[in-house]
Amino acid sequence: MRDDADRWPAPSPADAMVLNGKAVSLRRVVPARQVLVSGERTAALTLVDLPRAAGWPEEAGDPPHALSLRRDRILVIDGPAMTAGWCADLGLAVSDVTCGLAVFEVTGPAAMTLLATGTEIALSEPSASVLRLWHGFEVMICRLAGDRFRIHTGAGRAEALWQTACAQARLLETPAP
Amino acid sequence: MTGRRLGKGGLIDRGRPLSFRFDGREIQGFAGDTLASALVASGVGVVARSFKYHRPRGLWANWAEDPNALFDVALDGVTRPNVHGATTVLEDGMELRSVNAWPSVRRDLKAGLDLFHRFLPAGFYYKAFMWPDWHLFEPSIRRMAGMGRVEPGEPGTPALNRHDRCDLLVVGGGLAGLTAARAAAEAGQDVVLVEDHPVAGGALHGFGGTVDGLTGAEWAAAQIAAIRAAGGRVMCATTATGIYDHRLVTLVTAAPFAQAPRLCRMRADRIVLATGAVDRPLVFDGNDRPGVMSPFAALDLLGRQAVLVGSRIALLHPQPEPVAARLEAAGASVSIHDPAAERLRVKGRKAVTGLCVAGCRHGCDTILAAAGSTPLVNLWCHAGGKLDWVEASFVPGEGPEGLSVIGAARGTSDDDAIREEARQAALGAALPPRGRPASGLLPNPLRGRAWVDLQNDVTTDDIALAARENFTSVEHLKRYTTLGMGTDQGRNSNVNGLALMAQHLGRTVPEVGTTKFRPPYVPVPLELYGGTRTGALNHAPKRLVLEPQHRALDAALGEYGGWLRPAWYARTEHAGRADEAVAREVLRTRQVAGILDASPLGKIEVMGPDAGAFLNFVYYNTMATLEPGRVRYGFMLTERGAVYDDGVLARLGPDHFVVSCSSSHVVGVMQHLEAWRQDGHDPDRIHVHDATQAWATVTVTGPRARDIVSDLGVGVDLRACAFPHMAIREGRFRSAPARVSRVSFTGELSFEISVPLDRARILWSAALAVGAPMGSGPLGMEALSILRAEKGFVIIGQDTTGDTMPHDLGFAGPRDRKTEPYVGDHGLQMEVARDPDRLQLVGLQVLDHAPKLARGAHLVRGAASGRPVSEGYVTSSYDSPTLLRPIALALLARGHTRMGEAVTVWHMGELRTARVVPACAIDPEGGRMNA
Repeated sequence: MRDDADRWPAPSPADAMVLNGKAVSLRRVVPARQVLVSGERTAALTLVDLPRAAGWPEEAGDPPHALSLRRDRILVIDGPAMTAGWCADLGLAVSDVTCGLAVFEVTGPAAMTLLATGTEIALSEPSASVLRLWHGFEVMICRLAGDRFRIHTGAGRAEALWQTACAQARLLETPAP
Repeated sequence: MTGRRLGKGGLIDRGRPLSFRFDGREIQGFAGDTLASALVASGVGVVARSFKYHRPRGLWANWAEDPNALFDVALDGVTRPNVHGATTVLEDGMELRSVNAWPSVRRDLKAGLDLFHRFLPAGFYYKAFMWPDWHLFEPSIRRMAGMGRVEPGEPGTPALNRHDRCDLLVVGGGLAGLTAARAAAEAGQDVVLVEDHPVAGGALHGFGGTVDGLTGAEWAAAQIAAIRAAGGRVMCATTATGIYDHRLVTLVTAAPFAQAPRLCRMRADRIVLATGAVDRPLVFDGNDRPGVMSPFAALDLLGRQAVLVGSRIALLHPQPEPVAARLEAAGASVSIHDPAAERLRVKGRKAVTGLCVAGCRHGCDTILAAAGSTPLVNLWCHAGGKLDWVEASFVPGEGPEGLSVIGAARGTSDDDAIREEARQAALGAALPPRGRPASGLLPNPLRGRAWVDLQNDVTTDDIALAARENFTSVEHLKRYTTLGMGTDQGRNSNVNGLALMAQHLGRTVPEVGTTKFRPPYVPVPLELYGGTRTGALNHAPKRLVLEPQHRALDAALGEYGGWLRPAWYARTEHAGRADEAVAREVLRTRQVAGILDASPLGKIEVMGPDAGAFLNFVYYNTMATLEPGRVRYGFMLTERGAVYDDGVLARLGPDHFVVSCSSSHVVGVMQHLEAWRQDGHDPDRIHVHDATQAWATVTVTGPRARDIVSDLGVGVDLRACAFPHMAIREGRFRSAPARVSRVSFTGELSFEISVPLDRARILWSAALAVGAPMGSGPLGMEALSILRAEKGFVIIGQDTTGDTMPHDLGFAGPRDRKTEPYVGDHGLQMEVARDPDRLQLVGLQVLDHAPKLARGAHLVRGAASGRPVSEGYVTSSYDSPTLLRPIALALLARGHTRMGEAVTVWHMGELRTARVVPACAIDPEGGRMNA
């Protein structure tokens, strides 16, 4: 039996997850609703009343918006309230994961560079899916507009991802050798 | 060598003098110097001692290929070992300490080893120290081996890692690289040029002269300006250290001393390698003496740092004229000698005093000697490029698509031809036919001590010895003699070593072959690869939303299944007596109730009209008959029939199921389900969502669990008649949905309450507050492990092997009766599945108040004969606070048929006896959990 309580510092409170820098700023945001919808794409967009699901690097705009995870799955942020479970009329599966995904907003002139510290990503390299591995974390990276981006990750990974992002942001603030 | 600084020229800033110390001696250099150039400029000839014989060594080359100038360097209280002197930029206040020498590099006590060199050939330690035991000698040899000294406790610094991409990556900023990069940039391509020196220009600095009417430095600066003006990027002080699949190139940008370099992973559509060539050492008697160096290094020192390496120079080179002219113009007197002459020998010990050619002595203070050029083809080979043997050099042959080599690295030496190649490569056009590279010389086996690998002290005699002892494969030659295993990775020594081996074997060099070139091209610190993933960010566990509450209860925390979870509570109160804390939690749960944070339990939702049939196929147990509102325990198997996961399946509605798998198997089970969903099923009629992290689960378990949960107000009828064991109900908790299920991992009456994560803290606090007056309290993972073991419940992976099948655990029913196909069905019908000697789960009871068994201890037969044979092992073992005796679970051959039998337990040479009993040690009828 081993006690590792002191090996892992206590996690940061969500409202303290703010880092403002010249090159890049980070903060945690809490969407009102996040819902996974699986099934045929047109039917899913009809259900959530949104025109499209953004891939990479399409600008999703401020929520409500939908992100394309794979050909038969979208994540709807701040969309309409929906009943979880199987929607037989449209043949869609719906799960509310509002609390299951932590969301971080990344802004600033070096925001893209920060994203590129953890994954092979470029505005010139489109992808139909926003799913990626970032520094080993399973995430969704979406572009709201310009140099405003969001990273969604599993709630249990929020602390590790936050610390990683902060460490990278601090390195970006130091001048290149 | 009598190096000195010239009054003008070079790329150094004479207005910025820098002071440093070398083995205690105060020396001055200038901004723009490397450690090595500053030492040579101040007349230091001996910079290091050799690895094995401790012979004095001077600088051989002026960049990464130099094998000699390694130092331990300290600055501002930070020390770094084995700093490469020829590539490290000098900083003010540095303290250099020579490696492999004591007390100083000039007077090294271990230099006496060289007197015994006849007894220390390649691989001598394999022969001399085998009797009576290598380990007797190993500590002494380890102390003597190695180079720099690591200062313990010095932290590294995090390195920035980033990804990038470009249309064209040009590696090398000499004549070829700059020409190619400019042509591509001006053609509109997204170009990145990387140059490992701080200042681009390559060999132009060393050879002097003009290009397009400009000096080398001016021309290089003009090209860089043009590249940038056309939108290209130039990264100086950046080394391409490796090429990987799909044209991924690692670029390492040097940082000031003791700071981590930066790593860029560049994905390029095309790559042009203009990496140049280095001098190949000439192998002759005494060629390792300080003062014998690469002719190109002498020119490079002259061009970059304005250092003239000697005043009386003997030159041995196949094409000596340009070198001689440049050095004479700088003020040296140069005598040219035939490098192919027989009986070449160096005079002098710590400094060159002369060169003997065929018995005739020529006075000199420096010998510049090269047998030709070695194209730098390492990166080409990383990418899978082949090599051709042309004019005694390996040059690029067939190669992968999107990669081309130009300039000296291709064997091209004419400037006009190089620029034409560069322009063609920049535009992706076919390169002009390669001309024949300048001819080089190959070494001959000779008398005397001639060095092939300076860094690892490999001589021509060592190559001959390896050939005699039949280490003739090129890879065996490398490992037996350590040829090419130093920081230069064989750039200096490989061709000479291979040529000597070829002569010993009577083969050609291509028949001997080359060793495999692997990244990194130059040594890089490990912190480069780690990036920021150090300390708490190295394999960071997932964190519970209730962690602050657990810390407030003074929980000891540990990693369980990838999550940081409470191991036990009140750790301060029970400091040093964690067993007491755990026992208290066990008894509290058995007598009243324990409250467990079970949030990591899997909550994978499977939905759709075919979900039921799909889950019946994926599970070993029959799930087709599971009614809405009910829960069933089951196994998921591998195709071979081995148990992969156990857990419960809940049916919320006709088309809606929740798979509650083990906490540590959530990702794997998701992949398992997705794989089978897309294989043999209509994926439009089944969808799988992982909602594990969206829900928190608080489990209330114990005789008073119903009383506690009823006070929480979850909107569910909790009476046993309305809510039996293995059922699930959907209720509400504080206006949020709540899923309440009756499943038990402790053997007690249990309610698992799952709520959205943002309600977890309220639920947890309420459960503790309601239960406290009754005597309940929090339950940690260690107590949970004991509770489940008392009941005989298994943990997959701990109480099972990768071969355990469900009938080994007592679940044979579905194998014999389930008629529909399921994953693992075929495996369970195989002969191995019906082997009567299979390891089966049993309980073990120790005899007569003996202490608990060791986990992992073997159950053996034949111990009396002195040759025990294992029949299984102990998988779990605890002191049971409930039963006041030790309990254990084990996997034992034919275990189910051996109840009551006494078995012998072997652990670390000690033999004990235990009795085989049923795995379930408490409440076998299940009355408590069905209450």
